[in-house]
Amino acid sequence: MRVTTEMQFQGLLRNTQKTLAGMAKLQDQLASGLRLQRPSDGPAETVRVLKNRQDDARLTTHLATIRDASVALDASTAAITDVKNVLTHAKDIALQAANSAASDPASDQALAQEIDGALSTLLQIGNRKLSDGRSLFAGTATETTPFVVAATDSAGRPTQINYQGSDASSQVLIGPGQTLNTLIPGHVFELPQTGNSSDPKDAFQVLMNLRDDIRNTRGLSSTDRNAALTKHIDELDRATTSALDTLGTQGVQAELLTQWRDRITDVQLSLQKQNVELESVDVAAAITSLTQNQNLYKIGLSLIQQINSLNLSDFLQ
Amino acid sequence: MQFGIGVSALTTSQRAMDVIGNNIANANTPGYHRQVVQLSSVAPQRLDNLSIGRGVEVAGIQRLINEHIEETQIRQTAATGTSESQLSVATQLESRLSNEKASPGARLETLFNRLEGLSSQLNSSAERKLTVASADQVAREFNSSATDLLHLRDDLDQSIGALVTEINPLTRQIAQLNAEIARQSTLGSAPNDLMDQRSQAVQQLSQKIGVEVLSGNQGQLTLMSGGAALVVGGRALSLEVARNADGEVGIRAAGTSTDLPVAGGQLGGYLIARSETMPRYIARIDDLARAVAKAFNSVQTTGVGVAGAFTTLTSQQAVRDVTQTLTSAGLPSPPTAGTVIVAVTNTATGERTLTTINVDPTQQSLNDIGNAFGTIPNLTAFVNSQSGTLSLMSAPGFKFDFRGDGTTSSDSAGLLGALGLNSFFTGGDAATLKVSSDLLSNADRLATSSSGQPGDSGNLQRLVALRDAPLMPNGTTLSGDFLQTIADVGADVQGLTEQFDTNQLLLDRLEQQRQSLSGVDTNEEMVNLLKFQRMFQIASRYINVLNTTYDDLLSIR
Repeated sequence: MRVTTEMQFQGLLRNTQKTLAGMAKLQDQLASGLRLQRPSDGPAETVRVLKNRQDDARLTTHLATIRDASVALDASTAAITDVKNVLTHAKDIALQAANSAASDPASDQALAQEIDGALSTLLQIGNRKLSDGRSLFAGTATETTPFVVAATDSAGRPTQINYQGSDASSQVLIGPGQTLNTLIPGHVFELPQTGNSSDPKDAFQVLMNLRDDIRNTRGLSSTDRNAALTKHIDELDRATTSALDTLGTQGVQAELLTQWRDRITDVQLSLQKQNVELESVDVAAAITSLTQNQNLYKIGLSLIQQINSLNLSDFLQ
Repeated sequence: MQFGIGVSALTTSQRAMDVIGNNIANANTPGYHRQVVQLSSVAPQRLDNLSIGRGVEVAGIQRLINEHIEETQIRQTAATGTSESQLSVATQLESRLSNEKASPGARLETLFNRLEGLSSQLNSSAERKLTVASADQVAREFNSSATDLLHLRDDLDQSIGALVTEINPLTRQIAQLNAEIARQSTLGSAPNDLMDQRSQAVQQLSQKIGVEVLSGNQGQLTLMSGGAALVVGGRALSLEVARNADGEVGIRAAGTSTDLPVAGGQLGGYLIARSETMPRYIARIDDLARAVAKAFNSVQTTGVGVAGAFTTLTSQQAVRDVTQTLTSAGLPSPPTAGTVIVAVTNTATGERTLTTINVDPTQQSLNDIGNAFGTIPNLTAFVNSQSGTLSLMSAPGFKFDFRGDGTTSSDSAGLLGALGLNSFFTGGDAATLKVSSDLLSNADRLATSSSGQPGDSGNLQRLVALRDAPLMPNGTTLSGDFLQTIADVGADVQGLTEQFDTNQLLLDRLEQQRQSLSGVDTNEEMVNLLKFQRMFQIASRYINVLNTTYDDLLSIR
């Protein structure tokens, strides 16, 4: 093949331009630390990186939701613990009333007032709200005060407390298709029913009945009053057991939240690691390639100079 | 002894040195083909029985060219031009679609994150507003992408126009050169330099538009492109850019009404990008925008926000004509045959009455739908024929909603979304997608609840479920579809880059082959120059010797 100096120059120029372009790309990658700078650098890998980032951001949202859910769960757990304490205290009073040898109106009045206090505390707990104003025990009716005094006696003491929240729990999303009941309905105050029609509806009713029987407003005989008090103690036990069951459920949910949070953190770390592997530049390999390209570039430039210096006219007299 | 022989050698060596000089002068001229003198001995004369030569003459000046390589190079130049312009468009598409932070797909993900986060802050007015603002960003990003793609298409049209403006002078120049070459050929001279100029012009033309070269009489060339003769002899066809009724750009011969099937060269590449690549990506963004609107509307319309049920509601999506059937009334996403369940609630008693309305969009107009709503007790419907909208109003003490009975789809016809009644989005494509003005002005309308209770996240969960639902025709999710678009444009750029590099490499090889035969090697020319210089010197010496010999002869006394 006949070779002209023009061909040599063109060939060298083309190759040095290619080398220079390769160097520019490697310099970009090293300066940014990223191997993938545009989708065409690796379409499938770019999409994987973007999807991983989307998933990472989504998991961050879930972590924030879990934090919020934990606050609500902690608040309701604390409230139910308070319910249990109130019921335990009420049982102590009931035992005290039942164990007293004879009915002492002054003493009974004091015990009944204590039950009134417990009832008031229980009502406050039932209507407790989160700091953002949502009711803890109204289910999805978060803006409703769940328990209201519907009727009072002549002394203004509650005789009927109605629930006006919803029957469904408010749910939060803690993952794809994963929900958690945070704001539960007021049914937590209800008493497990035994099938007996005379069973009180809820803990409020138990306390109101207990208060009235301590005062003996129904005029029961001592034996019947003691039997009634014993029945109320049993009802308080059932209400306490119900509260403890709910506490257990809440505890399991809190544990699940912790596990879920840990799992999310692990997944996030894995996604971030994947992205580092996918998009980050291999610095050692890039620098080696850059050095190779630099050497090629130098050789190319040197060859251009050599070809330029080799001409027949230089050897003619 | 003849002085003529020496003179012929002198003349010939001078001509040869002229040709060499011309070669050296054009060593760097693009498209130049080196020339060589063709020497021939002058016919001998007979003296007695002897045949004695009469010297040397220049029989011709040959232009060294390989027609096959040149033709292949013209075709390869056109192919390289095609891939170059396609790559240019694809690269611009890539940069416009792949912005990680500001793209419809990225904004959609942010919206879904907001919606998922909202489940734990359902009572937060600020969070609801931020979520609606995030939805507004989704719509704006779609609008922006649509505008970007339309601008890119306009830029493409301008590039096509600019190329045609460059092509016409080139074809005229080639036609003029054809005419001049024919004239000179007729006179018997070899117009090598004019042919070089024409070859160079044809190469330039083939980069801009694919041409087929046909040889004609008297060294003239005929250039064909897209079945039309761009240049025939001394005549050139003038091209112009024309738009058809659909706004599509075509190339026509000036004064005609039929598009030429131009292929090849940069123009061919731009036309492919204009007619295939751009519409494909515009359609994908539009399809995604439509799918987003449809999906969000189907959930939003059948839920209820913390603002509760409605007392008045006006459709946001107007019809062209309230008397035309809904399928032909210009709705971006017309409803299908099905039902809508409307609930009217007595606010005093809480009693909720459900009424089912049958929808047949092929038979019913907006007027018919208004009449059907009007039959529902304690609900008034009004169709505004001027604005093409439907307004619903409940009687005092009553409210209405579309959340149905919670067991069956309350809008199987998709009527509410189609008309924009309690919808999330309005509009029918990426350019027109908007968040419903009702929702923008009152974020409490964001339908998070299925039951009407403020802490109920049932409908919000349905909205969030759209994130993982395979809603696009190829079974991908909404965000996944946008990621696929990014992958596709990236693969397009990758493929076209490889194609361009290959074409460029082939073109470089062909140029090497061309240079191998036609290129000027200055060293070679220098050697030839020395050769002819020596020839000139020897011929001069020969004449001198003859002269001395004659002088010697004449000095005999």
